[in-house]
Amino acid sequence: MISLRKKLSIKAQKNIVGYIFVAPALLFFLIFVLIPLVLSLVLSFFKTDMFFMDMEFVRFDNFQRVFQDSLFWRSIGNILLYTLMAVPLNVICALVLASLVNTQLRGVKIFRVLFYLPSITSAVAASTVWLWLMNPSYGLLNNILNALGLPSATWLSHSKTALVSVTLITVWQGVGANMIIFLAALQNMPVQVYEAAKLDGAGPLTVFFRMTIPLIAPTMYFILTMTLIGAFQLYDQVYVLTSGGPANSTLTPVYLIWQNSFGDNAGPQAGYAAAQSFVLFVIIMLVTVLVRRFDRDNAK
Amino acid sequence: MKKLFCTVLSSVMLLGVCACGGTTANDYSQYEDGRLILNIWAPDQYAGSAVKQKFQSFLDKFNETEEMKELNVKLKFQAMTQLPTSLKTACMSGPQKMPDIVIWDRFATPSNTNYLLPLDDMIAEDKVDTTKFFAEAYTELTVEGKQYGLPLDADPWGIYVNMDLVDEYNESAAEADKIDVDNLDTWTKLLDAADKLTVREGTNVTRSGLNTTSADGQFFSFIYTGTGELIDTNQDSETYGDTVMKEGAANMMNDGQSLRVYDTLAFFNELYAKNLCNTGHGGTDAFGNGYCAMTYGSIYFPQELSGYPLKNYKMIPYPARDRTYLQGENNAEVLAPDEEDKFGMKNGQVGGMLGGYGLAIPQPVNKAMQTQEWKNHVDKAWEVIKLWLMNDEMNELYFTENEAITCRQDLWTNEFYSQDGVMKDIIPYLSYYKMRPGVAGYETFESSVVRSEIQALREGSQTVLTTYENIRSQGNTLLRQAQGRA
Repeated sequence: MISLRKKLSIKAQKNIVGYIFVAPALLFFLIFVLIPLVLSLVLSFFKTDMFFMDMEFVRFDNFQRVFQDSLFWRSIGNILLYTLMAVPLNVICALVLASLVNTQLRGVKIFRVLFYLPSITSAVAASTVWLWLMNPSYGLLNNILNALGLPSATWLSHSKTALVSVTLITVWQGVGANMIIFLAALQNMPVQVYEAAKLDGAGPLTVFFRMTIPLIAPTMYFILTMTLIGAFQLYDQVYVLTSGGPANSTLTPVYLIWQNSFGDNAGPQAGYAAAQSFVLFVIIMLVTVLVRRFDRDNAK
Repeated sequence: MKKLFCTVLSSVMLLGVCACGGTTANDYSQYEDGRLILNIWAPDQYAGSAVKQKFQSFLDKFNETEEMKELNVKLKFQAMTQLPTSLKTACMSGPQKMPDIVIWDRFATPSNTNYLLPLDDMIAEDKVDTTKFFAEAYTELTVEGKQYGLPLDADPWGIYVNMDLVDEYNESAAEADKIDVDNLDTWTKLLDAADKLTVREGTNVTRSGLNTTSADGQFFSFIYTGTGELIDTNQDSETYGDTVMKEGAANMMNDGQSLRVYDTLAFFNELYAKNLCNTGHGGTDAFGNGYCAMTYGSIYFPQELSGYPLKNYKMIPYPARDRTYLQGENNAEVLAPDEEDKFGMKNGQVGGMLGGYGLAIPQPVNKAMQTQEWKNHVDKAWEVIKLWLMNDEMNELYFTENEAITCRQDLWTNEFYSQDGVMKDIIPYLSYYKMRPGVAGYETFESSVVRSEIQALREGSQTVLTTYENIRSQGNTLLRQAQGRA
């Protein structure tokens, strides 16, 4: 052991220690991300079930099928529409809430906790409660609307309103986590810059749009990217609230992939579901690259 | 470096401990009072307190019978969520992780044959009289000539009618307008009764006559009441596994099977147009609390209703088709259900969809894991299944304790089924009940194509003919892809 230590330079010894610290994270990444990713890519070239039974090599047939599958593209259309609604709403609400709770007023911590609470609630449990709240007959929301003299809304039971309702629920649940990240960014802003702006006579709105937003742009990009990826992976709320209905209006790609791979009577469709996953992966990657490019252009 | 060495060594030791933690495939048998424990897995429906209690009560009594003591085995059960997936995982892991017997959803058999043991040799060897079983349920466990289980219970679906609301209506109605639930046996009568039981304030339905909100899930039952099918299940046919629907309006009108699909869609359209249901009255709550006069449910629906105020209800089979829409989707022509049409098919027949479970024995997918010990377990499991299902007394113990309809049709004359209740009402019609088609991709076809297209029809966003064409084209594509024929 002593001779080995002598042979290694100090830098190499430090590197080894560094690798040891990184090793657990790398190991987890390898076992739970990289290996499954590679395996599912392999799986996408086969016709088989989730347990690799009766594997048949089908070349690119699964990918060809994805491009002909109207149901899959319907789900992509749904998720794009959902993303367009949910992501801006989530980011804007999170930023507004973070700005509101970024004060030193007494009791503000209570509001921070209240706004963050939905994020730590189980998606399934919260969705079940929302299912009751949005019940067209007995739901609290319609009772409130009726008490105000307004007609009942169809919420989750009509294809025209179901996706909007799902959006509202997911934004309610996701906004707290983003608020915390924005709040951290806001609290790390240099105080001197604000003081200088005040001395120059800048109003609160000018400060917010001309200074705060540009200064927290990296945080916003991070939140935007993560929310975007999360939006494309929408599953649990749809599973509980609508099962993809009515009339496939809330069918999402991940829900469809789950149905094809884990449905009780799915048959040997795991390879096809893996191909769908990869097409979704490419779409998410493309959208993320687009957002990044947009961010870079803005930064210039 | 010493730290590095210690870390690596600890990791290796930890992995070693993890790897050695489980029992090996050869010593997994457990005993209680000297009797071999056989594990049964049941689907998550058995996790509900009422169902679980009944089933456990049956198992306790069954375990204490002399016959089980002679077999020297004891059953222990566990309800599993996502049973097929859990079972597949267990079958990959080996006998020590697998149950010995599984209460199996018969409908899921065709997609899971790799994980279930064919019982044909055992059935033949022990000369089990399989003709005693309700054929429709028995066949649901048959795939490509192999038998993957024996049927346990028959779970027919039907229409539940709130008799309090019917009586209330009949009290003030003229004799000719009264609703006769015992003869609610045609589509026309159902439409009429639903309309009479609906209470509206303007266009707002305050009490629903019939739950049409979730009618899309009942499409197959209604198809069968027209003596039709939706999928071609004739294995000799060129279109095996496709929908039975012909392309184009002209071809559809000239084909008996296609016409029945179209008529069922048009009938649904008529139900929707009548404004019989408030969107919020689609669940058990609305029926149990008297907001909905008629809804759909399985033979076990009364167990769900036990906590609700409603106690006076009746179950009837889905009524027979007696309406055709050859003259246009809003122009119904009434038929005589018992007569044959020009295609040689009976116009209509009461009945519906049959669900239910079977008893099956799982097998490890890796043949090397099929050890002698596992084979001993299989022998015992088979003896238990035989005793449970083929012994009249034991089967009676099962269906009385669980309030189920046994698939042993020779026992349908048992006194238990003559007691007033939904089982007594529905058993005479069981021979008209049919299982859903067991072809690959069917589940997705039903949920993502048929139901969603009918939901679009309900919302008024498309015509009956468009709905028909969408189900046909999208359905055939999906089914062919799922069956590897695309």
